[in-house]
This record gives sequence, C-alpha cells and structure tokens, in this order.
Amino acid sequence: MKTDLAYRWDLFWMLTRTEFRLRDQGTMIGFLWTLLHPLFMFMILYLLFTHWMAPLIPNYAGCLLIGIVQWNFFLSGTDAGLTSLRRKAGLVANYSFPRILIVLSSVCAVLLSHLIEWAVLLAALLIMGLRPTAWWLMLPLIVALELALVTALSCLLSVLAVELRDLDRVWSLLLYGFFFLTPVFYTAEAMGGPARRILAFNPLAWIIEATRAAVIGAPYHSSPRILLLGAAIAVFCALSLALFPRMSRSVAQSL
Amino acid sequence: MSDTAVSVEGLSKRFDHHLPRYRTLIGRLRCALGGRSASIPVAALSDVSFEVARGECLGIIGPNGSGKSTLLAIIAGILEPSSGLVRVAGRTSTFFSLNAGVQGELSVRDNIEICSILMGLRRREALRRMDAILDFAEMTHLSEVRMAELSSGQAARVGFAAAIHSDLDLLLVDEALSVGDRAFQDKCREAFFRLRREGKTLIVVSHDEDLLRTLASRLLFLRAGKVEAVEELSTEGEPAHG
Repeated sequence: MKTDLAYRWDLFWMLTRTEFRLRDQGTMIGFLWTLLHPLFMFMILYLLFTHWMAPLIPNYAGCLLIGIVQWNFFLSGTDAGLTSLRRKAGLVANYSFPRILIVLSSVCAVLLSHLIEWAVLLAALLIMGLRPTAWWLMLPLIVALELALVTALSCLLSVLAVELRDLDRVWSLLLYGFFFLTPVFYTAEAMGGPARRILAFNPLAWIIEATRAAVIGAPYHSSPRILLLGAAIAVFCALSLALFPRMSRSVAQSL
Repeated sequence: MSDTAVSVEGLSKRFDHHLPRYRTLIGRLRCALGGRSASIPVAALSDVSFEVARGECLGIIGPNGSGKSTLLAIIAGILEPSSGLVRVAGRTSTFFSLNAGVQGELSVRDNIEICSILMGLRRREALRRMDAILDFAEMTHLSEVRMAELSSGQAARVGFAAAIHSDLDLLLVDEALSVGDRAFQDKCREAFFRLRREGKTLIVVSHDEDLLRTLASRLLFLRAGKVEAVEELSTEGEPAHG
C-alpha cells in the first residue's frame, strides 16, 4: 500500500511538472507571458474604474490586484480542470491509473503559477507601502479553500466535458457572467443592498473579500462566515471526490 | 503463488456508441425531451473465456473489429467489462500506442522519464535505468533533443525502450512489433524472448500470423467478439541463438 501511494505520488508529480512546463514552455519568458495576463487586466480595470471606485474603496489598487489574482486562479484552474481528461485522452485510453490524478495534476499545475503570482503580488504590495501583519498567515488557508473549490468543480466538469463536447463553451459563457457577479474590480462593501444579497451566494466573493481583509485589512464582516464557507466547500469537495471514480468509469470508451 | 497469470471467464463487453449530434448539452436536452436514445449499443466481446499461465506467450489474432484491442484494454484495466470476470496476477501495462504519453516539446530524456513512470516505475528507478533505455533506443547522442524533432520511427523507439525496461509481470502488446526499422524490430523480438526467459507473461495481438507463430506458445482466434478457436503450438519459435 505504501509503495502504491509512493508510486501514485511520483505519477501525480510527473503529470503536474509536465503540465506546468508545457503551460509556461518551461522558461522564464514563458512564465512572464503568464504574468502578463493579470497585469494587463489590472491596467485596463484600474484605468477604467479608479475614478469611480478609488473614493469608495481605500487602497483600490491593492484590492483590484487581489481580486484579479484570485479570479484568475478560479478561471484558469476550472478551465484546465474541465479540459484535462480530453487533453490527456491518449493517457486515458492507453494506461490504467486513477483518472483523478489527471484532473488534480492539471489544477495543481495552475496552482504553481498562482503561487508565483502571489509572490509577485505580495512584493508589489510591499513596494506600495503595505506592512505585513499576522493576518497574512491566513493566506495559505484562503488559497487552500479556493483550491478545494476549483478542484471540486474540476472533477465534475472534467467528466461531463467528455460527454458534452460544448461544455467548455457553456462554461466560459457562465464565467463571463460570473465575473461581473464577483467582486474583482469592486468590493461588496461598495455595493448597495440588493447587489450585496446576490454576492452573499457567491463563494468566490467570500474568498476574495476574506483575502483582501487578511492582506490589506479591508472591511470583512465576521469570521464565522469564513468558517461556514470552509465547511461548505469541504463538503462539496468531499462529495465531488467521492463521485468522481463512479462518474469517470467509462471515460476511456467515451473519449 | 498461482501459476495462472490471467484468467478470463465469460467476458462480454458492450459499447454504447454515442451519436455525434447528441454529444452536446443542447443535443442531450433534445434527446431527453424527445425520448430518443443518444447511443447505439454494439457488442464488442461475447462470452470470452481463457487462461494464460505464468511465463506463457499467448498470441491473439483476428480480423479488424473482432475485439482484440478491447480484450487487451479490459485485461489492462483501462475498460470495464459489461459482464464476466477478469483476474490478473501481478503488474501489467499495455504496449498499445507507445507514444500516448510522449510530449513533443520536451527532450528525449524527459520523455523516457515520463514513459517509464507511466509504465509503473518509480521516478528514481526510471532515472537509474535512463542510460540503459537510451542505449537500447540508440538515442544516447540525441538525449537532449526535442522529441518533436525526431522521426516517427525514432519517437516510437523511445516508448518501446522504456516499456521493455519496466518491471511488468504481464505485457500486453498490440501491434507494437512494427516499431522502427528491420534491425530494431529484430532487437525488439529478441527483447521479448529475453522477457519470456525471465518468466514474464506476454499477450500479443497482431494481424501477422507468421510473427505470432514465432513468438507464442498458443494462438487464440477471435472473430466478431467470440473465441473461434485455440491452437496449441508445438514449438515456440525462439531463434537458434536465443
């Protein structure tokens, strides 16, 4: 059993490293291209919204950067997860190993990029004059929460995407709408009552708000919310991981 | 320890081939609302039974669509049987599409590591055997070259060499002996004889009956998903120098 687990770790890590290297072409230039996307998004949104949002939101630049980095992980993670089994059709059709490793490695390859983005973001915030606090220690927990959410969604989406060939288009359309319902370039605090009620049902909104509270001390109401969110995501993740082996049983013949 | 490496009892496999127009969200909704079936059932294997002894080489032969590759995929654990039982003693992997895990943008060395791990080796073991695999594939001088720059024959050698150097008890080979040029094919055949001498079990699928007669101790003829005949071969055609 121990050997089996150790082998699966080797397999998982090999798949993750391969995916990461192919995403960023295994070079620093390739990684800079990955960083360019959130940076470009930041510049556009900052130019568009700074006059409107800056008077309402203290440290708007910091809030926007955090929103973009957290959103970007959700977007890239679910996209990589959704297409993972289809992209690795050759492996699924030719080798017998737990299919979940393909989904997990795809999400973890995006996580590696996300962690590097975080390192760059924290450096940028320090340059902007922000002082680290003990609340920064909450960051790994918040990133783990988002990782669990992305993983749970990816497990379900990856299997469904094998059967439904247009699911990636449907998902990108849903994400397009979801972007505006997520406080990426605004904060929940700056929104009126009805909008805030809608945001209360969006787990990513909770995650982004909690991140801003931990990193730059933005207003965030009650720590029980993050505990509730953690419990809900843990249940969703456990359900998704439990369903995956059953759902993925016939993917080799469907691909 | 049992002397049986593979036991197949009453194995049947039915595929549900999905119609392309129903492989979308809208298509599925139309299907559900209209009460239509989104797939066509096709029987690939029907009540197949046989055993393979440890150290034996079984050749499987049959026309296209007779269920040969499906049978290997079920034994490998890639596909699930619709009914029946398959028992495999020991570690196995397929030699189907040896380039399935190959990444064109990575080097030959990286790809050998990938293929070896997919074939069941731990990473440190894969790295330890790297030189021997490169040597077998005759790729030592090309180890840092991108895979995409190799010819298809050279690329196939990489996967084959990694597979030959793995620690599998049961090797499932699907037309993999057509890899590379004549000299490399002879080298591969030689490697299979060596594996048999080491007590490995082989199941080899091929359209080439002459080739199977030189390799196998028994031939299983499949037709339309059913076992048509089993032929015991009196001699196992190992080469004289083997």
